[in-house]
Amino acid sequence: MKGAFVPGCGPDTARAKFMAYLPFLKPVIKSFFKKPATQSYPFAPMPKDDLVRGHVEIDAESCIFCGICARKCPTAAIATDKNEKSWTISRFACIVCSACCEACPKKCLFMKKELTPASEVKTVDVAIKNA
Amino acid sequence: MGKRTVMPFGPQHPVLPEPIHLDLVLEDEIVKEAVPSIGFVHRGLEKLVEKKDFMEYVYVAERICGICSFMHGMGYCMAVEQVMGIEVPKRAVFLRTVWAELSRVHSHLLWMGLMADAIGFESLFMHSWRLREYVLDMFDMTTGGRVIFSACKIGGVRRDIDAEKMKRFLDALGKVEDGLHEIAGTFAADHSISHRLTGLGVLTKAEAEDLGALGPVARASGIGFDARTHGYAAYGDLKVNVQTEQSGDCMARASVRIRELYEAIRLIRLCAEIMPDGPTETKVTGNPNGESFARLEQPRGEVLYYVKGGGGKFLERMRCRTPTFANLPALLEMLKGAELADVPVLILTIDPCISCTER
Amino acid sequence: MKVTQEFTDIQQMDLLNKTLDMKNAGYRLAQICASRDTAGCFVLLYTFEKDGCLVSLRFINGGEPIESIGWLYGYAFLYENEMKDLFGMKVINMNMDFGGRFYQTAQPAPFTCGKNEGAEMDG
Repeated sequence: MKGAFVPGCGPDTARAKFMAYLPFLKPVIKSFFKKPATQSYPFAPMPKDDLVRGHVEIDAESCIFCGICARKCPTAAIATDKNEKSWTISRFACIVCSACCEACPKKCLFMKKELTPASEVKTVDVAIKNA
Repeated sequence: MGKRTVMPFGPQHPVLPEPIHLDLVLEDEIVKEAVPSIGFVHRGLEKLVEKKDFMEYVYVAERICGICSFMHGMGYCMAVEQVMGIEVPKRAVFLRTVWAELSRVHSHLLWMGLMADAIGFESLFMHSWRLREYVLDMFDMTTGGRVIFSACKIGGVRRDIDAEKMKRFLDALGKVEDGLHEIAGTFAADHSISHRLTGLGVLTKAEAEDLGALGPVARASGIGFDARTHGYAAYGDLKVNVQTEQSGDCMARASVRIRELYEAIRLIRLCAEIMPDGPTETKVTGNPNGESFARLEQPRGEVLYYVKGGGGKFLERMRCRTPTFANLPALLEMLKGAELADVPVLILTIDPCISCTER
Repeated sequence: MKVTQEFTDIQQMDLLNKTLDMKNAGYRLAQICASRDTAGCFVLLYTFEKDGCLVSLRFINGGEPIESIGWLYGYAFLYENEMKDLFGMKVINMNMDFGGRFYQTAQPAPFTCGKNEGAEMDG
């Protein structure tokens, strides 16, 4: 099998010792000519698939404030208020598991791929229905 | 007998991936014995099961550890499904196996990087973790998360991989395998690595059995014990080649892990070929009533999940016996007679996952 | 190979004899699990494994000392020390006794709080 791993007990002659350094020489020389493997996020955009779980967004106009998402949330990050018509999420308590998105009967919760940015205070986002 | 000093190693140490405390009894830089002490990452997760709904507990179970995360979620789901008598659809079983084997690839690549770092070979550490990034991108693409996937649930899986995505997935796997030939070749042939690892921490077959070693630690000493041969999940349809070595030293453990990497890549390709179509979940009704064990082969060894339900929404007991917990006596035995400079290499050679050990 | 699980209820006084039988039959110790039942007693589960078959011995303990099986299975000291530190159980004749210093917890025997008492510990 190509690349079968057969460990030896170490090279003993001078020529064998020199040859032993060769397997690593290939990635070392290649990395001289390639650009860095790291991306300078957040200054450069991070290419991400659409499936990625970044943060939860709500379409407030369709929400009926039934509270199912708040009950299903494993970390109790969501709070709904029927009288105020508000939907609140603590961004730093949310574990982006998308249990709320699956449980919502009106399908008004969506998982977006942008991550919550770092901040010095724990951000809380509130959405109010206008109707 | 010379004068003995006790040197505390850990819990904060640059080479340790997670905090563990060892009191090393030294006599002139030779370790005579080591006394462990754990509990720095203890979150009482076994007690938390009494307060979290058994369906919600999956999210907690997969956060027991970051590297073996998927298999913890899968083990918990398998144990509860056995108690409730739920039959998981075939496609979901195969998807779980694909992600489990990819977790094994991720874990062993991470370990190779950490071992190279413990020796001081930092550029090999960086190259191994560069390959690991391909694997994390594959997880991102198929499950939505890099380290914690939230892909397993009781009754099946939450995501599916369609044909177009599977093609991209297998292309990325090919890139990982090509990069792996260079890294594995270095581990095999490089003089500095073989000089540091060969002959260190020898564990004979009898010692490994007496100490209850599991996983690659036992397989490197000649004990061909692998929970995948018992045919859980899709492994009944796949033939797993158990990799063993006879010499029982650090080099043997490294070579077992690298050969398991190639084997895992082969198993993923085979799974992708023979995966059947169909639904990915079944509906779950009722509460668990009864007790059951589930055994899986994590990258570090055999993990045992015991789940006991009493008919209510909360489980009565969940016990997770992780492989690092069982490998600790083997570590303590290996440390006897070692030099102080080799202690980090020996600790990393059992692949310690302290978050798993302490839950 | 066929995978089976069986649970057997025994008396605490038979523990050492049954463990010796298991050892002679070639089983290895898989885990020791302690839990509390509704009456406030401890329920112990000793699990042994061989060739895919899991055999568990279960007995009830009301707080009296338990004999260690460390002389048969050397690595049992891990599970017994964990039981002592988390549940406050008494184990005697251990081959390696850490004296309560194995698991560093803020309070002794943290798992003995009941379901309702545990809620007050939050925060």
